[in-house]
Amino acid sequence: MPGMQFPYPRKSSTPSAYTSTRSSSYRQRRALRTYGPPFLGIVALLWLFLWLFSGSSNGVRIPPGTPEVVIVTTLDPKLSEKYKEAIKENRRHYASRHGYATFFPNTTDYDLMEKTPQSWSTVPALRHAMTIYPHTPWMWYLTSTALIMNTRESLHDKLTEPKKLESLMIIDKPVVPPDSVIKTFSHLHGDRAELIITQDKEGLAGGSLMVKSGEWAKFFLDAWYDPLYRSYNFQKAEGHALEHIVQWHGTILAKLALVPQRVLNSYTRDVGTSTTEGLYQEGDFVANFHGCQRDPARNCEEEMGPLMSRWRELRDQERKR
Amino acid sequence: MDADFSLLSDDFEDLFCSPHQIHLRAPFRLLDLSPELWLRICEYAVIKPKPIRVGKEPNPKDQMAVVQQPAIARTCRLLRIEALPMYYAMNKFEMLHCFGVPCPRKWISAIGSAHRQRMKSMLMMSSCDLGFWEGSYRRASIDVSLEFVGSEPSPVPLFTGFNKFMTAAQSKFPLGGPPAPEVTHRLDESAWCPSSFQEHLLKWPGFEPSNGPGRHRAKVASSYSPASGAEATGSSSGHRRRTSRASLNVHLDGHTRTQLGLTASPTKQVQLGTTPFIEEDDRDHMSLDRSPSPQRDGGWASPGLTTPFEDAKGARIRGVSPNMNGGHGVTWASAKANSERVNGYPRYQSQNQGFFSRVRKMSMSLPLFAHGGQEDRYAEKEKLGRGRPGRDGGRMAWSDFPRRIGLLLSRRRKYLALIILGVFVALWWFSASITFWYRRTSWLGGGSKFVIILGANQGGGVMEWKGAREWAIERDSVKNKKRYAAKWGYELDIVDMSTKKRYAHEWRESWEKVDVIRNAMKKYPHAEWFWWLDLNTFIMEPTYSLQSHIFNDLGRTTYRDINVYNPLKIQHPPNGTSGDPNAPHFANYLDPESLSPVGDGKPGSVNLIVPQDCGGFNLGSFFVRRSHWTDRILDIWWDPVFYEQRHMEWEHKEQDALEYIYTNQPWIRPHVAFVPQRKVNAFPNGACGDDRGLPEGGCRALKIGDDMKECGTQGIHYQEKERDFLVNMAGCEWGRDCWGEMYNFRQLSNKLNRNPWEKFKDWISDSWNARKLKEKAKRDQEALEAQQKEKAEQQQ
Repeated sequence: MPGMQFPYPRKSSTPSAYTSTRSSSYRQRRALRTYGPPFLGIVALLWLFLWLFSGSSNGVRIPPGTPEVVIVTTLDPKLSEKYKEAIKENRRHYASRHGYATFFPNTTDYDLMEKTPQSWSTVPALRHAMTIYPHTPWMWYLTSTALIMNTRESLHDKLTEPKKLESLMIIDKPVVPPDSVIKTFSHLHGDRAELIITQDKEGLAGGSLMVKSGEWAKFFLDAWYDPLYRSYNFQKAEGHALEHIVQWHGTILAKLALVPQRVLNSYTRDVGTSTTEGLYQEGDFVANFHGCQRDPARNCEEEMGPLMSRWRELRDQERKR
Repeated sequence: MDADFSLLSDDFEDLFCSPHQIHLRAPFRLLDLSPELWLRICEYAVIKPKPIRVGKEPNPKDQMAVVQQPAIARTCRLLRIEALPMYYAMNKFEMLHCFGVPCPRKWISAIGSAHRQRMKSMLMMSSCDLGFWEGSYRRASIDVSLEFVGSEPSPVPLFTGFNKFMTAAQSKFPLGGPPAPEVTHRLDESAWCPSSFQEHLLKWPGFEPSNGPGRHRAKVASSYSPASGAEATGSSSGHRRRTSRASLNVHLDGHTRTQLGLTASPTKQVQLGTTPFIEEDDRDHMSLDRSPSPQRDGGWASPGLTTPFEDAKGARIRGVSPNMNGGHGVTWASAKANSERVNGYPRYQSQNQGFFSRVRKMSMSLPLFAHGGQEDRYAEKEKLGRGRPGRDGGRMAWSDFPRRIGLLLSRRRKYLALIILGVFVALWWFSASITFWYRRTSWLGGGSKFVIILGANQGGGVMEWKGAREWAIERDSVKNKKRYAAKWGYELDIVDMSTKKRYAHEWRESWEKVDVIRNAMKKYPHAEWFWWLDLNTFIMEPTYSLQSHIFNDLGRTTYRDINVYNPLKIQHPPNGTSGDPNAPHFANYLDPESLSPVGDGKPGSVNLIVPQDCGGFNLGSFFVRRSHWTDRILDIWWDPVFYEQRHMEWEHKEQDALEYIYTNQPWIRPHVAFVPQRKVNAFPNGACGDDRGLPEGGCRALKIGDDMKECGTQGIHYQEKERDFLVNMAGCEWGRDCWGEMYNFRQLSNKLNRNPWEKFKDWISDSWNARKLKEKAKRDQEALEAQQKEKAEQQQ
């Protein structure tokens, strides 16, 4: 139809630029289909490796042979060598049986400031143990007036295993008996507890306590050891300071697990009004001659005599077996 | 004062005014009299019948009158030596201490120990207990012994604050309404200190008061009000002036005064004006009859308060109706309700509200806009018909651009073009909200990870000393932070820091920072960093985001090692001894991380970022991160045993407590970083010493060994050239002008952050003005020359 007007110009015979792009995009698509999946696979593998390696490097590597618990006992250098040796021997025996470490600093090793009772050295001693054994999860402080009587069970089985701890914990109990308004948390998980302690009739029994090392422990020990608490003249020194911080600071109370006294800290004699709840019985873990050092009328060494020989007997029996 | 003449004796004129007497009234010298006589005159001039009050007056002029030594003691040396001891020994002094006003103590130290010991003892009324005063005098090294005398049972006449008066009066008398009567209303001191007073007796060692403490407290009536009339005032003044030898009868009629429009103090009829006491009393009375300003430093006039708004406010103040006077018809309950209404600060809501309403508005206008878009397209098509594209353009060139656009809009692609256009238009239209959304989203801009906590309403609450300036400062500061938070998508939590008796143990008052931060952490559970800001701060550079300014590169913007800049001389590493170099060596029980000056050195372990000024940590502007560590430090920060032993020394409360625990509890250090003061908390000149200026060529040109001046970690003062981020007018309430500083910095910030168009406009107007000035100078010069020429010609 010559002379006819078309609304559009006719398609020319020269190939338009678009065709070439179309074909190239087709080629690209094909290439993608063939090389895409293996490429993606490689990327995924790389990512997986990276993730695995970074994961392992993030976690703190615990060197082999790290003791699970460090037993800390502070010793007054004025005590007789024989007595000190007996105490150390008692700890070492239990430690060697379960692969624990021991740490026996002197009470005079730390700078306590003037007029501060020697008993305060408990706190820096625990911090010191944490520094020496940085990977050990638990520190157990046992006062020098106590003996470990039953060496059969490890602390893990007996106490620190979360399920076990949960079954032992006393919840919703006034921190300081009989009627402190501050009570232990009722919804504390066993694996979140970082301070395990017992209670006698007067309050928290600091003679035997376990602290889980970590950032919280640093905070707890440093706060407890604050110079203003040391200078405040608490009647029972670090014991009252501990009760104070537990009751005033929620972040400390939240980590506190209170366990029955005889699990960790049986007393050989009664303190205060008499009930026999916390009294030592044959087969208990620890016998604590509580107050024998503070009371001038009592003599620790003499008092400990019978139980000390009983412990030696038990030890020898074990060795024979 | 006609009444005075009626009291004069009949021969008064004869005695004093007759011509033959006049020559006798030649110069008369006081000291020509015999010593007994002039000493007696001295006594009259110096000894006041009622106890002299030393306190803070709302108006500085009145303040002078209160603390001035008697006039006669300022005439000559002899009189001074004689009169001053008389003044201090024979008068009874009372001291009134109000919250935050150090005046009485300053006065006591200012008069010197000799005069102090002459005074023997003085009565002090204050709401603080004995222990507070003992400590505060000891610190001022003034030797006193204190004794508790008694306490005035609450409630004292209640006055609920001046601001409510202003607003009430305003609503009653709008500015164009009836003529505003002058304020003749008097504020008692009790209105300034509305808590119950305790009275203490101050004694100086070495003297025993001769006849026991003269315990007399001037019962201050709750100011006279027109309605109570003359009798009430008369009787009250009679009661007050037990020892005065004259009685004062005040006649007062508020209504007549209002109608007549008299502006001076109320009319008074003074009878029996024979002794100088009357004058003294009268003057004294008058001085109190002034409208007080609720500001602590007094006075209404100020360079900053020149905006129309402030003027209106000033007018309002003057327009207080006398009927609104304190105490009248104000019951405790109503006053309390009032105060709550005023103090209840509207919480700043999150951004969403405004955003949605804006979206709705936009959707209403959308159809119209779409139409506009279509028209655009038609216009483009017009062009299209003319320029059919050729095939020759292979490469992208700017000249090619219109053709390409035309291609895009060819008929086949019109829908695509429409969509693209629509998207662009939408992007442009919503750009503000898109930017906001982007900046705010935690995984993009991360703005919602930051919360700004602004402590507002300081000094409000039960103490109520907020005045017009304080409100203005608050308004400006809050607006500044709101803008900043909105710009970057941060959360803003304005907290009410008004003094409240919130705790059972009242002594924890104004230690609320810790609780406020904890609450904010609860309120914004997804935020990470919390930025505390005092009210007296101003963000000078709102274009800096916190991320780019500090947090993107924490390792570089902050420093961990306290030894880098250590104004407190905190020992690091802590060595476990009491700091004595000669002490025996003890076992260092700390772990390597606590001993290390930089903790573990990773930015991730920083939980608290604090600036240090010349005197140690400064908590006017600091950052804290949500973490277990932070929970612990917030928990241990305030402890009753620490507080009990140290609250006298810890003048700066939380700040001192933080310094203390930082120094003494090693677990803190590995998680604290310091930020150079100028980065987040620059001070104006005058706070923390004088501005040392920048070295020539700025901080970048510094070489090792040069004087650092305000550069680096020790830089404290705001540097305009370096465009510092934030100014903290710390301590301006002590002797500096808070509002003036805030105003100036606001203007400066606006000036520094003008956009190009504004800069252009300013440049035009500036250059125009400069040119005009030059022209004028030139014209003047010419006129002068012409004049001189004329003169010269005339002379010729």
